[in-house]
Amino acid sequence: MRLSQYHEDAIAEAVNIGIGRAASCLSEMVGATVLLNVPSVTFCAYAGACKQVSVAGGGPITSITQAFNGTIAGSAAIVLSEDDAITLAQLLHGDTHTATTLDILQQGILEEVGNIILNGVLGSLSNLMSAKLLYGVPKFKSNANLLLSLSSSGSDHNEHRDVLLANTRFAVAERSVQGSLLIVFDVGSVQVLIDALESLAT
Amino acid sequence: MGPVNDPPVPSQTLLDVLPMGVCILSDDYVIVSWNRTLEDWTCIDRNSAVGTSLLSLFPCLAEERYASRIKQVFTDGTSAIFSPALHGHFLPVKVCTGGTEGFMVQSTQVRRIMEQPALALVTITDVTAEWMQLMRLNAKNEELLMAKAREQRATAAAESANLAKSDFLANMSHEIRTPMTAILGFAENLLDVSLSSSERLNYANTIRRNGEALLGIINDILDLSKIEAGKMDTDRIPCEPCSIIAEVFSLVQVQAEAKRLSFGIEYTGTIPKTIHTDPTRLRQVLINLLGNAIKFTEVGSVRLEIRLVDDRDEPVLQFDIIDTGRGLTQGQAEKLFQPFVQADTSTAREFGGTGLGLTISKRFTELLGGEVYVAKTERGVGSTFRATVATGPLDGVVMLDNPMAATVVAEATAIAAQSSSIDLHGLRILLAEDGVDNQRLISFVLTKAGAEVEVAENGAIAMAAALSARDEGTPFDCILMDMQMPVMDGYEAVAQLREKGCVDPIIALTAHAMSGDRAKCMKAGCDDYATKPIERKKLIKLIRKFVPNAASGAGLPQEPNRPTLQNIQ
Repeated sequence: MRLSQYHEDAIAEAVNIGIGRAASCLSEMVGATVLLNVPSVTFCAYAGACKQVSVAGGGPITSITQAFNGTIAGSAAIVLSEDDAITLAQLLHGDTHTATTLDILQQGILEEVGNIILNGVLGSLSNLMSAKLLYGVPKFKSNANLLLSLSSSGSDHNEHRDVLLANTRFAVAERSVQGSLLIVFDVGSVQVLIDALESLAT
Repeated sequence: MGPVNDPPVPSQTLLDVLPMGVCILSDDYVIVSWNRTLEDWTCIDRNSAVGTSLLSLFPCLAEERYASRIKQVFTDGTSAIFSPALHGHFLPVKVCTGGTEGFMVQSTQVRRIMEQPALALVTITDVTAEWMQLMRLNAKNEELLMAKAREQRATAAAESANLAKSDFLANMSHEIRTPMTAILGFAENLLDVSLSSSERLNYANTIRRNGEALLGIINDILDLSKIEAGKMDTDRIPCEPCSIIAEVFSLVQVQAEAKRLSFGIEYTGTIPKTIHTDPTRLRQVLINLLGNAIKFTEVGSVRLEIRLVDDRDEPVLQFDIIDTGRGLTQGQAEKLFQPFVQADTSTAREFGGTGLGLTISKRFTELLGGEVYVAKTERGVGSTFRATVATGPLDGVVMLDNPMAATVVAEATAIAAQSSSIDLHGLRILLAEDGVDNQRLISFVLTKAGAEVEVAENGAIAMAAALSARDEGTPFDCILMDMQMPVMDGYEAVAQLREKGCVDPIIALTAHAMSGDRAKCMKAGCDDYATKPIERKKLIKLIRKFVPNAASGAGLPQEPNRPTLQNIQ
């Protein structure tokens, strides 16, 4: 799927707006400035995205996945290395004890953070295209098999799906962690998105 | 992908059997459904809940962190989850866990289940038990981690102590072998009959000098092992700091002169005439610190500054030893007072010494209510070592405005004491000693000083000799009694002599330089105590102290005799 520069810019802007909203929500919640930053947004094929993400992470990977349904459908995910996931949970909880694995409370934190961020981004995209979405609840998966965690439950062939990939930086106070934000669209959904953007342009 | 279809609203019966709190809200927070679990938790029954605003029941939900996201659920159809770690609870429900009352810990989800009219399903799971378990686990983990860290630190410390001890032993072996080699080598040379008298003198001097060095090392090791075993006692008695300083000065000045260093004493303010401390230990500390300063200073000066510091609970006398030597790095200064450590191992090779002096000085000053530390140091410029000792109460103590005058007087006395010719002419001395070499050595020393010596080789013979001399009306002027002897030891002999009314001065001789020995000898009835190896002048002075017609020069207070390298003349 090739997107024009115009399409990519519009989508990048929508993602940034959503991320910004999520950041202010998180800041308000944890009582500290949370900065979320998406320097680049790219579209790629499913297999390519998985490769990029797993290379970027190194080590064990964790993910927070949230499905969405409606005008467009698919699943959105935040992917972090396990170390970064622990750090992020600690940053948001103001926790300093030295953990090497994620406990259920930290997993809860990550699910809530994922929920806020993914809601922000998906909400912003759906606003852009005046779409209506029904959102699932986020699920945390540790040591996730990325292919499996992102695969659609439907009968779609994964290899035909398109992925919006955004590298994301989370920063709380002086510290920061890197992660990836992925939106895996079911077959046909990207076309709906492009059509909506086209109609906006005219 | 068709339009969004809302799922059917779950039935009340279904909701009631769920083991979690479930309610359905309209977009103005009015409760539409309230399940049995929530009735149990909140004690609000369904009839009162339904139709009421959840906000009026739980005003805390109006907080922005809940309100903005719940609003989004209704308007955008997003889901919202509230994690236990970030919120603790959604609905404040009091529970009692482990005997303490607190709020139930909850994990909550809010999802829109109908768009027109807008309805949201709130499901609340009680995770208090898991939370408590996790807290306990974390606390335990933390404890384990800390214990592990402590253990690692202890292991590291033990390893480094072991390493220091091995280094020390290697160094010590070298330190002991070096003078030993010289002693044995030159002793063998002395046996050569063809030597000239000046060669003989030269060899004998070399043997003596190396013997003294060896003695110094052995004394240091003994002191340190006593300190480490917690067996070092101090004897705090009234004494005059100025005379201690004068004595130290006269001893150390020789070393300073030998290196062409200027050496001076300065007093700041008034100094108490007497203080309560252990003069032997204080002298040892000062000699050590000044000796070090001189050893590590090539050119320039070494100064001793003394002042009274009484701005704290207990007044202390402060001694600053200021040199223009090589100085120390911060790291060296920190390590310096650990046993077995010299500033760096190459220093030991260059300057010799065991590296124990500072450790011993530090422990001594601590025993005397003070401390030793590096007050100032700069590489290539010099160092100031500061030692303090508690003075004891100063009420009613005379304060000297001009302590230097007192020092000069004391110094003159000290020098006079050392230089005045001391002899034992006309004295009759009984020497009880079983060792043939020591008999010869001590007899020689005493005879050389003019005394007439009778030797007894055990306690029984000594006792008989002393009693018969007394009975003949010619008692000995002094009895020197070795304490370890065959047949009858010194303790027994002295005890019996005293029992039989012998009043002769008796001085114990022992090779045991431990402080408990002195008390043991005194208890047996000895008048004083001297340790082997015998220091010629000290022994003679000690004898004169007990002979009624002794001339001046024996006036210095006597402390337990501990051979020191510096005061063997």
